[in-house]
Amino acid sequence: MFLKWLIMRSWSLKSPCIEILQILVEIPLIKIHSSVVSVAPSFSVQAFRLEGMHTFLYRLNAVLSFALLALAAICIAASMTDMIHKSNPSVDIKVLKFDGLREIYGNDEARVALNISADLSSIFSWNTKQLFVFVAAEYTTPKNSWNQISLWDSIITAKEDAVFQALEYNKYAFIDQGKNFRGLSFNLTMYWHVMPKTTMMYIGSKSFTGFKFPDNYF
Amino acid sequence: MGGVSDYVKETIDSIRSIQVRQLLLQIITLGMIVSLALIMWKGLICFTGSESPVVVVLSGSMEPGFQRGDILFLNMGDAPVRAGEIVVFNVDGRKIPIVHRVIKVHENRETGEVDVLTKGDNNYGDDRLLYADGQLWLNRKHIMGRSVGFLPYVGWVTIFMTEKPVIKYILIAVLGVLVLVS
Repeated sequence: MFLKWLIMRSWSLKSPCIEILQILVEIPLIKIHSSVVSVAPSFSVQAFRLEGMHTFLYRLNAVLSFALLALAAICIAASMTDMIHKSNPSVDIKVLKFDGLREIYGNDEARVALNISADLSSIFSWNTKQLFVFVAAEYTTPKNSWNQISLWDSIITAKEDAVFQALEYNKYAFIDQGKNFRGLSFNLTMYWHVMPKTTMMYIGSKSFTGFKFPDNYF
Repeated sequence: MGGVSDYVKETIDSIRSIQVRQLLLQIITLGMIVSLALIMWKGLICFTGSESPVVVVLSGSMEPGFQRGDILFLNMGDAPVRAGEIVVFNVDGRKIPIVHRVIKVHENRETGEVDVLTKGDNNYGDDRLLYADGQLWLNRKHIMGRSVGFLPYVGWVTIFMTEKPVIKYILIAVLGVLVLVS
């Protein structure tokens, strides 16, 4: 009698531990069904009957539900450990030379040679899938309060590749909205977009100031 | 074989024996489940400020970062769009939104309107070929949200259902039968 009560109680509580226990010790699950038994026209009484359940399906459901719940909890806990990871990336960007400054279709275009060096290996943790690294030129003009143009980018998928030096011209067109480049000051910022194996993404950056366009077209 | 036919017979009998009140209860329960799902979805829309808070990646243009079948969580927020962010945008004349990275931003001083250019990490060139004819930039109205997190592989279920609608109908039918007989 006590065993029956325990099983019924565990069913009503839906305790995953007891459900797993039931599966392991091969106890068929039992559910209470109520049915109304008519005794007289004026009143009715509630009678209870015990019904054995489809053990295989219910056990499978219990195992899968609990396994998924446990897996989700472990994934969340594991991804949270990534938050305590500390990194100290070192970055340096230099403008080697301007290889052209011209007006094209009413907009200024520049071609610039960059020396980009960085050690981003400390950013990598067990949960890092890749780093999307890019260098952007940032400046203001009378028309625009903010201009940001990506000049160069790279995808780093391994910690060993996170220490690099690149001597390259701008990979993407360095074109202004208007004719504002001549003599204009601008910043270069390296951004690293950390893409994890799962959960939250975040961006880190380091800016370098004091760069200036040539005063004349050439 | 006899066991299977007995089970089918029992199931049919149980469906036949359903009373009107019981049937109504089942319909109301089903309605509540659907309503709850809808409330949760609309709540997410309000919370994230994005018209589609969860999207599935359908192409390989953002590989290796995002693969086909990954689920992305979006958030719009009030912060201005910046280069490097991964945004989901709609293009006029295209039904399916695109998930790509912002590579250029020009924010107008007077109007505050932002001109944005995007590119897929795995694509050679920018997205101007994907935009509407004559369109050079995306504006804030085109952007549905920016990606803040993702779960790998989970979206394959959606892809299978989209590509093979039969699976979707079978699943709905099975769920309907389960609701009736449970």
